[in-house]
Amino acid sequence: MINKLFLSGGGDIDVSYDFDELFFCSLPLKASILYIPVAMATTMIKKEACFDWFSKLIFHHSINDRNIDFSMWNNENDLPNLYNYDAVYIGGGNTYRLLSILEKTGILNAIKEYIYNGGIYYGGSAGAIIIGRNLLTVGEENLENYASHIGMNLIRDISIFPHFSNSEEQNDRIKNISKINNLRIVALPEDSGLIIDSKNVSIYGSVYLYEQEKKTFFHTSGENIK
Amino acid sequence: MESIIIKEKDFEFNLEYFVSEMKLSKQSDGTYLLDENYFKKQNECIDLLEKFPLIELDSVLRPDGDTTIFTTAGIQHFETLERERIVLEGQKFTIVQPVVRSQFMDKIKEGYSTAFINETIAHFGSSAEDFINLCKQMIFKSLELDGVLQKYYLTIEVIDDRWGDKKFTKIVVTLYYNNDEVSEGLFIDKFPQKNGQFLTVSEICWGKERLNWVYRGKQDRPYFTGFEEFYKIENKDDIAKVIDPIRTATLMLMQGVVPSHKDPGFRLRQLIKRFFERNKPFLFSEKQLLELSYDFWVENQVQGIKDKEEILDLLRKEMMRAQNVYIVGCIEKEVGKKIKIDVNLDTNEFVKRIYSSSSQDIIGVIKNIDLKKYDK
Repeated sequence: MINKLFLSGGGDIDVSYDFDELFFCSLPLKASILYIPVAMATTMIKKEACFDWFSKLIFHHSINDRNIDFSMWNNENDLPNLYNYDAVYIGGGNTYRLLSILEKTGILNAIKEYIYNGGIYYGGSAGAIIIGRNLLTVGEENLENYASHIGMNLIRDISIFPHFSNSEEQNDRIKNISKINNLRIVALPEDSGLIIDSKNVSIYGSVYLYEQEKKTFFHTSGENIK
Repeated sequence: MESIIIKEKDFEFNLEYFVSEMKLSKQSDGTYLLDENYFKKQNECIDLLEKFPLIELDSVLRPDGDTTIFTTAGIQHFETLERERIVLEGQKFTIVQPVVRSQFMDKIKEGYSTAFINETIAHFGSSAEDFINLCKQMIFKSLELDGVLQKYYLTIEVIDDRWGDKKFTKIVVTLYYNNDEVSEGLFIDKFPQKNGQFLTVSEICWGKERLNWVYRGKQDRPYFTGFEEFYKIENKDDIAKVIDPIRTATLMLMQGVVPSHKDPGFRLRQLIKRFFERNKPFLFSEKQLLELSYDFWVENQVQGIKDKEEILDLLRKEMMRAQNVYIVGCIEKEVGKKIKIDVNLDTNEFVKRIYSSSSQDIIGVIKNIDLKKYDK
């Protein structure tokens, strides 16, 4: 049974602070997180920069009596045992590269199983998109021409569009993707997110739902998407 | 002539010219072998190659605004040069730089480490010929250690990279010995400088410890020299996991890093926690391991701003904290209760406070833990 999934629109540590804090509040006081930056960390220096970034994120949320630690898995041969961790955090980058690596290594199935067994998951940007039904919301990232666009589909057939700024260009683009591919798309601004449990898909901040030509605006945190 | 053209970038690298000048032959698996007739004469050739001056090493801890918190490679010296407004064009140097790569923190096994000595020879504003000569130098260095050419091969890759806001494409030439990666050469044709101009960069580098380890035949001598007495043949990986975090933590402590929630102190805290947890089955003396680590770094020109005694005090204080955090975790896991208590207290006071305000099940958990005193 799904415990809690946190899907954020991405962005800087400061911008998504309040939403991220909900994730950190859901962890034990002494918590260990598995951080997976494979969507972005392709070279030595990028891996090190990702490690630095995640340390910074943890520092910002190391308040009260929290003692949070993390390990980083970045496409190494040895697959980690997810059950050694209190949560799995997958960050942003190229969504297609991310899903391809997760599938090839076999960790994707382990993550699904972990989620269904009550493991806590945080997905930022690309990490949020792969939880949705379809990756075509960021089809321009398909640089390697992957044939499949199918995500994990854990949120009632919803697909995710992150980094949403409500610009006219983005509106037109999402409507178009929704119409052509018959997708329900949730557009997440960087300071917003979705919290999914076994019963509800609830929103945090301002969230927009696109269904073909129709656009619904949700603006009350805690409100559920049917 | 064959060129690799990177899509949508005006990056060109004449691979055929490089392969021909390097006297390499391509194999069906895409790797390259060394030409025996040419490389056998290495003693004659090596003297012809230009030697670059050895420069003073950078601090392991980088100033704010650099790409990473800790120095990760000798080539990162370019950030120091740019910060000091020194013109990069024409810079040639050799640097023997202690570096930290935190990305390996939870992947340690024999042959790997989070801190090591990175020897780098770099040339800014170099030509393709300069890069070829550096790559030859890289190969000759290895051949001095073992001249059996059949044990070597090279790979050549084109990789997009990014250092902070600098985006570029590079050619990476990797040298393997007995299938172990030993050194790397890289060429960037358009490296973006702070002033907006581009220049070429050639570099060769290797990890000193790894190079030594690979050529010692691996089987008899451990990766971490100076720590031989701790090793047993059957558990080299487990011992490496214990030595690595305290060795890197010592390097950080020598630089004045103090454990905290915020980097660089957070990184140090992570390392000491790993040392505490991984050393539990062995109970090696933290004092002895720290002293050996300290001596290793001093031998490799690391100038500490703190002496051994100060560092040992800091280490023990943090190990005490790591033990307290471990206790909190055990209680949370086994009893399912969150206890709010200051984990910075000394062990006696910490345990006393829990005993005075907790239920029997919590006290039972603590009694099952083999507590160690770090206050002396």
